[in-house]
Amino acid sequence: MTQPLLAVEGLAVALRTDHGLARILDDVALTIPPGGSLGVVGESGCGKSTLLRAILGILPKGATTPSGRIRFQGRDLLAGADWARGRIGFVPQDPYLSLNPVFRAGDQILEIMRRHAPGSRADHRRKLVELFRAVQLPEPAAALDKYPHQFSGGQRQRLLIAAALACDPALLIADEPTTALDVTTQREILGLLKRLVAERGLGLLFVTHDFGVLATLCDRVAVLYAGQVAELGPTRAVLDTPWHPYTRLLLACHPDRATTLAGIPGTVPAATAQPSGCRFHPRCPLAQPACAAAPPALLALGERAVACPRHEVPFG
Amino acid sequence: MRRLLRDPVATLGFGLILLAVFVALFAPWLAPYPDDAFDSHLLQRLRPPSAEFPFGTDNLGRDILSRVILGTRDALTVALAVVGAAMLIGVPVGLVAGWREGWLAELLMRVTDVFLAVPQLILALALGQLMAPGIGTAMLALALTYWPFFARTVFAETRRLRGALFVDALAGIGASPARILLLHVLPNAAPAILVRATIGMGFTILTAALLGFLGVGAAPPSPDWGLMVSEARQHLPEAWWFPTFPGLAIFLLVLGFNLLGDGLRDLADPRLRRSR
Amino acid sequence: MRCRLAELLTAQDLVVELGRDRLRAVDGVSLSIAAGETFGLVGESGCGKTTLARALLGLQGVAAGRITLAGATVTATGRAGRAAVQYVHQDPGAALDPWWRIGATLAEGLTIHGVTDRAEQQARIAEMLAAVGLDPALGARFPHELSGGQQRRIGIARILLLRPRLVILDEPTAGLDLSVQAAVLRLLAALRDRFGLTYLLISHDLGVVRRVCDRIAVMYLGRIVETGAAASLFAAPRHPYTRALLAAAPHLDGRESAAPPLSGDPPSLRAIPGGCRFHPRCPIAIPVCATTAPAVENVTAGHQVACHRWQEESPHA
Repeated sequence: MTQPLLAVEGLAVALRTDHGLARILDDVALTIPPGGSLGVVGESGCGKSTLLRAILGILPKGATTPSGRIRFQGRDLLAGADWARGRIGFVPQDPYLSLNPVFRAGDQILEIMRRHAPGSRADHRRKLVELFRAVQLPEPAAALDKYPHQFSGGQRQRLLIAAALACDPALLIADEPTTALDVTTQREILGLLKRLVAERGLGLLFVTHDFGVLATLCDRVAVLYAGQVAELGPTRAVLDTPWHPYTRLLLACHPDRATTLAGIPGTVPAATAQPSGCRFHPRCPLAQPACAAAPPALLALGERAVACPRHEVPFG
Repeated sequence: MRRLLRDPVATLGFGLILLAVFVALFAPWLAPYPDDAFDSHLLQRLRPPSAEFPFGTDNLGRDILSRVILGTRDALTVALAVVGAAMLIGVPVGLVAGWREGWLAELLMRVTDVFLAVPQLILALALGQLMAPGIGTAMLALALTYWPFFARTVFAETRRLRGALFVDALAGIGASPARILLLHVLPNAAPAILVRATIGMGFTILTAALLGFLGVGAAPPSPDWGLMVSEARQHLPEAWWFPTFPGLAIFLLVLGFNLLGDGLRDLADPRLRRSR
Repeated sequence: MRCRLAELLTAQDLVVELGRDRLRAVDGVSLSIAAGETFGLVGESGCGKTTLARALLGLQGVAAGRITLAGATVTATGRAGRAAVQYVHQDPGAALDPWWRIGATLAEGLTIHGVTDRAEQQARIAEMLAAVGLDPALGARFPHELSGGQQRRIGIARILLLRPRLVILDEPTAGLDLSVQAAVLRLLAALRDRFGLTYLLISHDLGVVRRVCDRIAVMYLGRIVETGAAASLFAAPRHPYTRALLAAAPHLDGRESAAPPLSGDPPSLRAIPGGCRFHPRCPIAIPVCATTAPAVENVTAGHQVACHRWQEESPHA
């Protein structure tokens, strides 16, 4: 069996707040094989950004030391992530806030390369122009000397993808990279990401709230609810026959599936006041007394896993 | 308030000001010789600090501790009056100039700039020459030179808030400019105004003391701290206690206002940044 | 399907110029919204849809054209003459004064509109909070203490208290999770029926527009390129830009649309292309597109398109 590119095991992160300890992530386990792609999907407050931050080693102040393990290429990231910088490329959510407006875009990326990639500045410049061509920026050589405001939103996201690729990473992490963009631009950027990941054999961890985006990009999907993995499996299988009641309800809200304007009753619980047992039970149409008593284990069934013993029961 | 108390430096400043306010309120009862504000006792002049006179006595034999205590009230009153008057001029000017575009805003801000360029001390000295020198003249000069700081602060805040979505929403439901400015923009600008006022209090106390020292502020025999330091000059270096204790009082009160102002600014800053 | 009702709001050849450079953010837009319908205005950022909304509200002056409200011309009346038209902001949290309690903010609108009696205000507010599905006790809270969904409901309640006839909803579900979106859309439909409202819904999200709108106008760079009933527009889009928008929405089955993705970003208002404004990005442009602006033509009654090649069968309907 080959070693996974990224393996997260039993990851738990809590945040100290004025209202007590917020358990943002609880016993999260995921793996990405080399060249594999995993989409993490969930609604706001499910802990998907914290998961990314824990992997990147940039948890906010007030977060507890994460427990569990995050192994990247077989080495522990929680013990210190500095060695992995450059080997994990990160594409942030907002292309407008992620570049310093007073420095040339090219210089900002070259600075990252100087610290994390071998070679001279001339080599780096040559390579960056190649990357700009690969991400289809117009006039790649001239783009090196432009300031961030001279690029449109879509072009900035291309710049940030080039920056994420600058140090030849083995894993690309993307945090909703298209939410700030228009749909036609989103389509272009997703197509670009898909092609780059395939061409370079990169692993991809893609966080989103949009199942449609996942379906075009990722071969596996993990559904997160209230800091826990609700369901995990190949994208096609999960989207075609969702098992967990949460996944089923969430997919039923998607415009492609929605027959009526049905939502999910109730709201996502606050991280400081998680319900007992299964965290979804207060909103679940299949809930039984047992669901409130003990948290369900993640049942592994072939390629898929689901944290609900009643996953085969249809909605009444 | 709880967040302010978490900042030890600001809490120290706040404590100093509370102490000064307490002393000012109960000065006649706290001072060991309340009559020494004006009465002189030439027989006991220039005594060094002792159990009887903890801060020593001055050139007219008055207890310096009593005079420092009695002077607190004047110092705070002057600061409050000056900052209050400066706010009365500066805040409306800033609001109107920040809200309106065009010639009126332009005119108001240029007038502000002119007043900002007038040196405080020189205006005070000139006014002192023109009118009778005294604490009233000094206060007028201070208020006339401090209001532009309020105008600029409020101007910047109003310009920032004018672009805020909630102001746009208010215009959308038909709120009048007066309603928006007085009930919405002003409260939102209050933290910045408060910070400016706190720092202004310290600044005013210092400048008022300086004017007293130069002889264009409070007139003898009132127990003015700056005046006391000035009177002490002729008796240096022998009577070291004479200028030291009033000077220390000025230092501590100004320090208190500045520390509190800095603390308030830190408190106000993240909020201002977030709402942008 | 609704039958054709009386026109509530119309715009004819509306032109809006912005700033000193007089950029034409809206350039010759005509539309008419019938009483009781939900009219969708779709387009990407910078297409001028928010500017158009502000012009219809009277918050933005118009350089040319005519606006009528319930039959009366209101082009020159400014905001004051159009209290029947109200606007719900895209970011409902930022549209609330952070220093004011929710109850005070709601009461303020009533005060401005002449309802000054405290008791009547409180009664109306309690009723409206219940109507938008909120606990009246929320009135004592500050805006930052509410969730995104609650803030949005407050934004709607605040406007409905003023008893408008037409409500302009700017991206009413932007930034909301799917499960919450559905609840907000359901609420909007219920309120429309209960209070007899007409909606102009501005959005870039075709999934939302498709589910709630009766008619749709697609806007590109200051002009409306296609208008029609939602069903016919989604079933047989005629303008290549409408097709590209439809093709760009990602689907659950992962299928990629056969339509090639559009290249490049929309050009800015400072460099509007000649001829058809869409021609530099259009996959089916022909030479005439670069020289002549297409006229608005009827596809069927009630379905108009501005494209030289709309009659040619699309390769991927």
